[in-house]
Amino acid sequence: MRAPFAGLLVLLPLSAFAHQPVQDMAPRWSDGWGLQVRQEYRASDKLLSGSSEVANPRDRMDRVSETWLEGVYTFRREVRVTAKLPWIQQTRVASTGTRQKGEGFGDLVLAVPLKRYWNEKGETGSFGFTPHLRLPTGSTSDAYPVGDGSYDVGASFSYVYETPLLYVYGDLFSWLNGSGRRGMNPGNVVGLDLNLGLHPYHDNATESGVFLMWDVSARYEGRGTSTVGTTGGKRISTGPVAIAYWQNWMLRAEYAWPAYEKVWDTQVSRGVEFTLSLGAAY
Amino acid sequence: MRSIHMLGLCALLALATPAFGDHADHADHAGAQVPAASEGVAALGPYQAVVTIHGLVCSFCAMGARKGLARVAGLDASQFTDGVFVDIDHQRVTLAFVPGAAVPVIEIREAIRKAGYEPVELRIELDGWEPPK
Repeated sequence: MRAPFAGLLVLLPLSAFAHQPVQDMAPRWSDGWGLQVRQEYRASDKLLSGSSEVANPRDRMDRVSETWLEGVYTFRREVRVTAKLPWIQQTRVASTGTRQKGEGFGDLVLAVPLKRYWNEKGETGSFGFTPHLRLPTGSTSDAYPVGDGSYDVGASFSYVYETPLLYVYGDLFSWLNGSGRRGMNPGNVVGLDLNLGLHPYHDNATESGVFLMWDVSARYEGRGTSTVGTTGGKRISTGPVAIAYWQNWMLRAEYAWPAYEKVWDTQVSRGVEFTLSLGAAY
Repeated sequence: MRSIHMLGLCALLALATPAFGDHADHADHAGAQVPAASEGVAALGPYQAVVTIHGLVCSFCAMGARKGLARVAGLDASQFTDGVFVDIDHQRVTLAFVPGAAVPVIEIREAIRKAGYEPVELRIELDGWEPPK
């Protein structure tokens, strides 16, 4: 029987693909700019073969912490540019039982969100198209590399609808991943993110408020390879999102667990994910 | 791995707490009298103007409108926040002017457009207004 020479469903920080600073919302004003720090953490020691959990005698695990530094500049409400750079600290136990680590800046993601807004009585919304480019700024030298050494291109189509009480965000995106170094060749990705939420509290006087949302994220990642084996699979993750804002500051917390997950060959589950981000727009 | 669950849920609960607390939409702020809002009509004080703006539904996204309008000439910065009060319940902005100041309508309109919105209507309270000479 062929050994489960499988990799980890890890290389791509998928949740970072769709969302744009600051919190998918601001700045919509001309000559506006914003900064955001986003901390993503996920960990799992659950081994999957296809969609079934299997025994994990070598204690395989995967733990990834990514701190994203993100910036945006809005020329006018229809045209923005964004840049996102992760600092990654990650550890895994591969199928050989070897513990591997990686740390450093990952791949820089540049994007040009183009939006078409409408404003009506009591509502606003936009359609968006965003081309993306990922540059191989991350090192490929660690045992658990923080980059794959390839240029990747992507595009997303987004929709936002908002009233004083409701918030709806949808984003359909795809990435074409180039061939990297050391045999790293992740598959192409198609994903859909949905945020459905309420804006149950706001205070005009202090310019503060809260959003409560539910996030559903679906991903399909084609079969690919990492330095230790196969990558890719299908996944639907879901969970609550809470946002608090005060004037030009916004804090967002997300928690997501895999409602459905199927990997190619045998891989460690992506597991639960927790994201905390703080952004400001000027 | 259990600690991730607890950390995540604690952060979500902490952020969501204000949504369930007691709150008033029109509390005083920084010593300024916030405009009273009856249904659909703003109660203006003297030397105030109100602009109805379509799409103004979130204070965070409307920050550009508030900041842009705060640069309009003649505002009384001691009132509201730099002379500007954003009311997303009724999609309007109230501007407080110093007595005798001119109301730069075109400047107001451009500030709102640059903020990503469309101005719909401008009303000005003339009671006690001293026109500029």
